Amino acid sequence: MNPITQVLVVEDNEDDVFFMRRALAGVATKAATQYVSDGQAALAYLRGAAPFDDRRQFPNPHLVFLDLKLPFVNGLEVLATIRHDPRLRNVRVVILTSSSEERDYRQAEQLGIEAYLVKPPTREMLQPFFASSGTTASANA
Amino acid sequence: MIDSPSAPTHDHDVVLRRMARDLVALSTLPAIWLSPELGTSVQNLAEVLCTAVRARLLYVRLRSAAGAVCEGSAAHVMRRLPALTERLRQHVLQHINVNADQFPDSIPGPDGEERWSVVASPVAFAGQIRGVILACTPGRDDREYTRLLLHAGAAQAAILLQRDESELRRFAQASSAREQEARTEKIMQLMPTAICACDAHGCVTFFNRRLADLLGAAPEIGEAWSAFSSRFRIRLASGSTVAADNTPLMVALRERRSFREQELEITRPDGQRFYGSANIEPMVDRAGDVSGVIMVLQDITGTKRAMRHSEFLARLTQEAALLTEEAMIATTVTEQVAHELGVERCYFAELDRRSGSARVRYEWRRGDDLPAATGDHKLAELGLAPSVGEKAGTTVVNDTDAGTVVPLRAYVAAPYIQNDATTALFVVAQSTTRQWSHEDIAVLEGVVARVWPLVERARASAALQERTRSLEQLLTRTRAAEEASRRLASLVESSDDAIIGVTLGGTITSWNGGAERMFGYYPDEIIGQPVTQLLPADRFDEEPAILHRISRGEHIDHYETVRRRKNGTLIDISLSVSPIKDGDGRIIAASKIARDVTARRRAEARQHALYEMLASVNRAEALPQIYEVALDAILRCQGADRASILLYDDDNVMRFVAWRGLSDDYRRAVEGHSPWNPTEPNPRPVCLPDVAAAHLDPALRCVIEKEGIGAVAFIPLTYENRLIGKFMLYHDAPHPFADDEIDLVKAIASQVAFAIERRKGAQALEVLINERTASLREAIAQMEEFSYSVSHDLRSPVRAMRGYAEALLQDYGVRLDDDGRELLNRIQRNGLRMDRLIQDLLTYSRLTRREIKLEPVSLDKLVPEVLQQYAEFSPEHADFDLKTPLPDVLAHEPSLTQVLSNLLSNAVKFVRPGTRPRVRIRAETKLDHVRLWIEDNGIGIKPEYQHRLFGMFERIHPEGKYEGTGIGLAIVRKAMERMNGHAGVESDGVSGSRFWIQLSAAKP
Repeated sequence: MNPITQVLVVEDNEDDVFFMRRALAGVATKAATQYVSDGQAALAYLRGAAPFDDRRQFPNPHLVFLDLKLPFVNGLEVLATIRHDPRLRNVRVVILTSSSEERDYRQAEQLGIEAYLVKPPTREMLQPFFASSGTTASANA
Repeated sequence: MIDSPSAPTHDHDVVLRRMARDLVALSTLPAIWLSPELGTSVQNLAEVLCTAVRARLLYVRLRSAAGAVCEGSAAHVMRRLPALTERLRQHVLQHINVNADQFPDSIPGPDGEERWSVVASPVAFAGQIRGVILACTPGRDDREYTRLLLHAGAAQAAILLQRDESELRRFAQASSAREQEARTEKIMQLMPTAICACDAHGCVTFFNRRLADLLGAAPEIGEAWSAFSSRFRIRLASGSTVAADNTPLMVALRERRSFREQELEITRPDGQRFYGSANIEPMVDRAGDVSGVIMVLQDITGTKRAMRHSEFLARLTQEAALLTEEAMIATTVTEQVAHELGVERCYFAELDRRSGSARVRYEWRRGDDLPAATGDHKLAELGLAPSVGEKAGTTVVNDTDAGTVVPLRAYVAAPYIQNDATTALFVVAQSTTRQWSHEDIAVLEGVVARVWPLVERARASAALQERTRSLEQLLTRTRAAEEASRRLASLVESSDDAIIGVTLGGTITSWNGGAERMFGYYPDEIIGQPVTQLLPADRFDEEPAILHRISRGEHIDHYETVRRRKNGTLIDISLSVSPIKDGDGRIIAASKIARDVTARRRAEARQHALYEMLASVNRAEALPQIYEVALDAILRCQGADRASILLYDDDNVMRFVAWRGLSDDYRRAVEGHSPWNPTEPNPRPVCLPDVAAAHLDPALRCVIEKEGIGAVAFIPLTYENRLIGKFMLYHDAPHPFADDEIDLVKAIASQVAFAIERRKGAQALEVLINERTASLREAIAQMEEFSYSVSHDLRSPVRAMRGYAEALLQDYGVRLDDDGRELLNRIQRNGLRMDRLIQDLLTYSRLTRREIKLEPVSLDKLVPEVLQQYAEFSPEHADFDLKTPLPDVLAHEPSLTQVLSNLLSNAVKFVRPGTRPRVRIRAETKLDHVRLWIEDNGIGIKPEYQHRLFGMFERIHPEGKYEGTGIGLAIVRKAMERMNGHAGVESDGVSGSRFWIQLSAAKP
């Protein structure tokens, strides 16, 4: 698997953004992380639409962390749109949510996800996704 | 085959065939000699003897010259099963000491069968008893026969021993061998079977006397068999003739092949023919080359003939039994028997003992040129003794020239005996001499015994049928006559039909009561009047046409027409007219029968309307439809001019719901009026046949008359004895409401009331259900939304607080002192506790609304799974004693998992500090319930607290001491309730707790 150097986090809660930053700082030292705060922005980013049309500034992410409870378009809708868009179909998505409801998990699983993580995010939780690129990071942690 | 004690052939036949089979089996014995091995030979001997004597088990034991014991055994079983044979052998040996001199006569049968008879024969050789042959059979009585055959077997065994000895001692004296050979030869000479041996070149080396007898010629020793056999004509069973150098014996020699029971038809030089069964065995010397051949030939002529006759008899009886007609049976039989025996004629003779004569019937003759014997004859004329009627014997005459009614030179008359007397004879006869064989006689006796009862049965059955038929005819005739007179009487006397006599000129001559009722005229008013008086004006020409047809002798049946009553009203009638003749057969008048069909027609119409209404009412989907259908039906059935339906409304006032032909003013004016009290238990219809004459409130009468109503009827609509409304019928003119009219309307009313109530009930129920479903759905949706929000929004700030405290501790911990760090730790702990509380609450609420489907769950699988899921249950932390196997229960697996993990974590949590948790898990099954026990060594629960244990937020231990939200057991209880189970605890508050849950057992 290619090392993950580009990460997109879709999260509207500032606190959770804070914890995500802390956790990622420990394990994804080599990865550049972009943050968007709602579902529409996430889809725009992935499609390279304005204001994310500059791919040098907003490169294609290797991995997307997606919250489920989002304003405008919720996380499951974002996920469904990704899976039905031929250009985005192969984007790797990790759900990061506060919901441990079974129906949420089952729906996400059916649409196709990399993993389903329940908040709060910790370094241990994120470690496996950056295992190949983050060896130095975990050594530093 | 038919086994019948009345057939004289039977015993003879059986013995003959059995002898043949036994001897043929024994005749294979020479083959035994050819086996070089004593052991093999002993086994062969056992098998051959077993077949010959048909023993269940045959056992041979020989002591060889070297002192070795050789055993052979064979069992006569349906299929040769080695295991079964061995089992029988063991059984026999268990009860018989084979080394003893004396043997028991019988032993217990295996598997509790009847006792087995034992026949033994010692094997003597060289003056010593050297062995024994035992034949064991379930209770048989022919021991002597068996013993005879066993002796023959013992002689064979002796020869085996002798050969064994000579093998052993190669230099044995020739004389002793020759002596043995001579003995063998003697035995073979004595054998009742023909035996012959040839050398490798096909030259005769030995034959016994029986062979010469059988073939009617003896070969020379050294003569070529092919040369000898060329003197005979030999045919195979297939019918093909065999050349002399191709006889089975030559083939056996050439191709080294054995023949078993080869059937041959052999014609001797003297022309006599016989049937033989040959067993042929090539002999092989020690080098394995063919050294000669042995043939054993058995005469089976008698057997074959007996078999053929038996089969014929069986077939004939079967065929006759299928026929039902006496003559058919008898003629079939005479014809077939005549052919079978090759006689000139064959017939039955029935004896009349009083007159001493016989009636010959069913005669078959070879040709029509032969004179017939059929008819009544004196016994002597048929060549029969007068005593033939008393004696039970068969008359057999081979050659006579006594004067008989037809030329009979040789004949047999087999009697049919009933009650010690001969009632019929079965006779075959011919005009030439004949030596009747006993088989011929047996066939005839067999035929008469079997067939004559069939003839008699057919005869009796035919007579019975004839009698039944004539009785039935008589009965039918009697009935018809009775019926006719009864009909006539009823027609005239009491019939509702009008019976009228009319002259050909059209004058009425007779007038019965029916006519009086139908037309309204008394007899003295109408008799003598022209019949046209009854005709409506437009039908005057009908009557002359009718009378014209009658005068021609025709009948008129059920002619539907219309006639006029005295009061001028018309009447639908069905008219039948017949001519009346005088003594000379001349037509002088007409008899008319008229039936009033008005009522029938109206009834038909009503029935039709009623059924249509019922079907429509049941199909109607809304109340207005039902009303309309009901009004239609009422108007059509009752013939009312107008009608309406009124029902009580919610204010208990009767309101019009449907009507025909009523003005708005009228309805407004009369609405609310009712002849019945609303609570009247059994309201009855009220009829006002004439409004003008009725006692009515003047105001109401005014309204009714204004509407132009002359008659009115109120029909209550009731449902379950409750008045719900009414039907109204209105006639413009006064109308006498007949009972049947009202009954019909009542019938419609009850159906309509039922349909209305049912429809109303269904509608109300539907509305209620829809309302409740909607509000329930809403409640559930709200609840779900709430839970979802709780899980996200409520936990989110708690989690953030914990996160920040942790971040603070991580990033700035070093700058704080111990107290500061402890405060942060407390913030974290409380955050964690808050989070758990929320999660448990969610679990609890999810349990209450989740759909629970009970399915068989294997505790054996589930409990270990739960134990593996949590670190706190690992062997490092606690000991679990799982009493397997655990049964299957009916449960919802996710909920049961929740219950088990809650109970198990309680079990390991509540222990005294420093104690290692020990938990025992076991199950009890009681009737159809399973109780799973989880027993710990914890601090226990005092009985006074136990009732609070399963409540929400109940904690009975101080908070600081043991972690927990107080919801865990509430979850357990809720989950168990949802799964139709129970939960409980037993504890003395000192030595641990014993929690249990109870569920239905899963049916296997």
